[in-house]
Amino acid sequence: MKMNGKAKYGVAAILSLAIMFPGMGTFASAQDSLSVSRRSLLWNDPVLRTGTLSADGHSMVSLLQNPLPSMADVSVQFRMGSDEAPRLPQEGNGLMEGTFNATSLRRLGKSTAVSGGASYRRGIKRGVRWNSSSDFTLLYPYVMADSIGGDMQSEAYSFYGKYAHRTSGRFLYGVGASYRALHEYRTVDPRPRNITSDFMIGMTGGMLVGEGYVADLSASYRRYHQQQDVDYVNNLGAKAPQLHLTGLGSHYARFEGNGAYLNTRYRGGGFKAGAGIRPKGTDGLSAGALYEYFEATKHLIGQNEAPYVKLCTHTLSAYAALRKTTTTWRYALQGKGSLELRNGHERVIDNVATGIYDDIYDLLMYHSRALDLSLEGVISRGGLSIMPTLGYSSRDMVHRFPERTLSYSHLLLGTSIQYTADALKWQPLLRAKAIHCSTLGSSCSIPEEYTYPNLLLFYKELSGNLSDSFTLLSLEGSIQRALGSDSALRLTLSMGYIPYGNGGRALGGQAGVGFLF
Amino acid sequence: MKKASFIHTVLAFGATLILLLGTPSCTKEQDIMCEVTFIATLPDGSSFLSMEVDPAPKGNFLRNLNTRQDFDFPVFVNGTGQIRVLRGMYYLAFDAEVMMRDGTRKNVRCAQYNSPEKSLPLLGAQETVSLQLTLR
Repeated sequence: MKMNGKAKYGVAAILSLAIMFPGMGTFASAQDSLSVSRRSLLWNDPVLRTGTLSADGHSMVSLLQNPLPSMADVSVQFRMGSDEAPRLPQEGNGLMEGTFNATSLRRLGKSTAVSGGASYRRGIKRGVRWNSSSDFTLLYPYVMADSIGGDMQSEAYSFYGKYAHRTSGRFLYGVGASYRALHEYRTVDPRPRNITSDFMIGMTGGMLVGEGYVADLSASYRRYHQQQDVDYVNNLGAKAPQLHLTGLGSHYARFEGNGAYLNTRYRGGGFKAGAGIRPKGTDGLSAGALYEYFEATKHLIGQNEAPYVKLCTHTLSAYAALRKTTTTWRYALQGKGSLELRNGHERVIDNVATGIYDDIYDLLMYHSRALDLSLEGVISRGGLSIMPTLGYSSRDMVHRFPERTLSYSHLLLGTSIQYTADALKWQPLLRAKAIHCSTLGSSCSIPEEYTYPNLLLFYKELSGNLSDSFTLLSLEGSIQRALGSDSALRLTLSMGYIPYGNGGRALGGQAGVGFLF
Repeated sequence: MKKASFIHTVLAFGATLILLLGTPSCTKEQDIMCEVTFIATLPDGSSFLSMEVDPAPKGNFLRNLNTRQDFDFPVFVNGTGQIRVLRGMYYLAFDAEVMMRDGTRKNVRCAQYNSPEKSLPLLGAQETVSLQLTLR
């Protein structure tokens, strides 16, 4: 994995902070000085997690008022699964991977908090179809693909760090950065090799409002790069051409093939801006809204870096959560929404009369809209929590010429039940979940003309999968053993099962061991 | 006082949201089609009554250089034909038969833009292209 010098220094700095945090043990609140078993109970409390995790995604200073206590978690997980009717076959129909994760949140005194994390993941995505690129959901529809597909080896590193501080007055500020590197490749023809780097840096400024609330504004900046090279090595191997897909089965036909045009680069980035308000304590209303803009231009490396497609994505997400606790009961309610508008531009490349591939015009050819809404509730008493959830999601995609459309909408209804024993030495946790996803409607219209027959069949199959209702059943159990008052060992086992209406099924499981301190 | 601060914060939060929602999109809905007027002339400059290009032969094509999509030629009346195509670079060639005003027929060929290197840009909302026909 290649990483440039600046990125290396940034990653090293973040990683050093993440490792350093556990040793800086001046605790800010009574919660932070609890034994690891007590702190673990708080981390597993669905009421406290409601709104808190959403706030962490929106703000760099939320860790100062985070009701979850200081905690470090180092864990190793193994995960595998298979899916006979995947909703996203471009990401594969099976998975086998191992992950190492280290995360830490520490409050250093009353006015400073830091958090950091590092992870490494290595695995295989099985049965990837019609996609040779990495980060499919980020870059769709502009991915390369071939009719062969197959397994993709995948290796990822990621790091993040945040620092938040409250000044002597009523102001707060926070800074943070994250870096993700991804390396994916296939070992049989056609052989894509994708190297991705994704860097983000941001800051938040906030102030105390009255005595009970903190309001803040955040902004962050992102740089993204992916280089993709496809090789055909075996003379007797598959010679299926690479298609530069442009959405819903269309492709940039001028550059298809298995000779030239196989080396491409995504170069892009974007920014986020958001606002939030949160209670200083456990109870109260927290809310936030975040706008994210991302764009990526895809270049043909061997054709003087000609930019031939460009993606612009606008995402607006918001949440509002309310927490209320009494001596016996605890409640939480959270509503979340996200709207993503994606525009795809195809550039007109000239006739290369001058020997240079010039882009001379820009055509807005692809639109998609993704809407997700959810309402989640939590009712807890003692170690027992019931978490009903209601969700709605819809997708509408259009490629404008010749017109291709795909749309569907789903309603989700389900509940989770969690039990945690309030025990200091051996602490079990059991969580069961059942969610039914009902299709409200779906339609797909793709013309046969200018669509590869195999790709047309693929979309017919995918459309069938998307119109099928299903139920997700999952069971997760963990047992935690305290090793003194400051550390604990945790074993986790979980599995999920989806019986599809059309007879297929998906099955997955995960096992992990973690060390908490 | 506390209540007023809270209300001010909620108002500021709402204003920020409106600002964020109002952030301009990177693109607006764009007309991607081009209305092309072809004006075909014979080598001697004489005009003809009509011409139809049969799209079936492989040598007859009006093709988008980048998407490789083919479009049907228009029917030419009095030397002029109109068609709507996706904006882009195009190359074209055809053999056809024109009907002259005196009722006679002539076999003609258009090979002016017959390869990708000779393709022409059709990028505006309306474009006019002169086709120099040759007799064959």
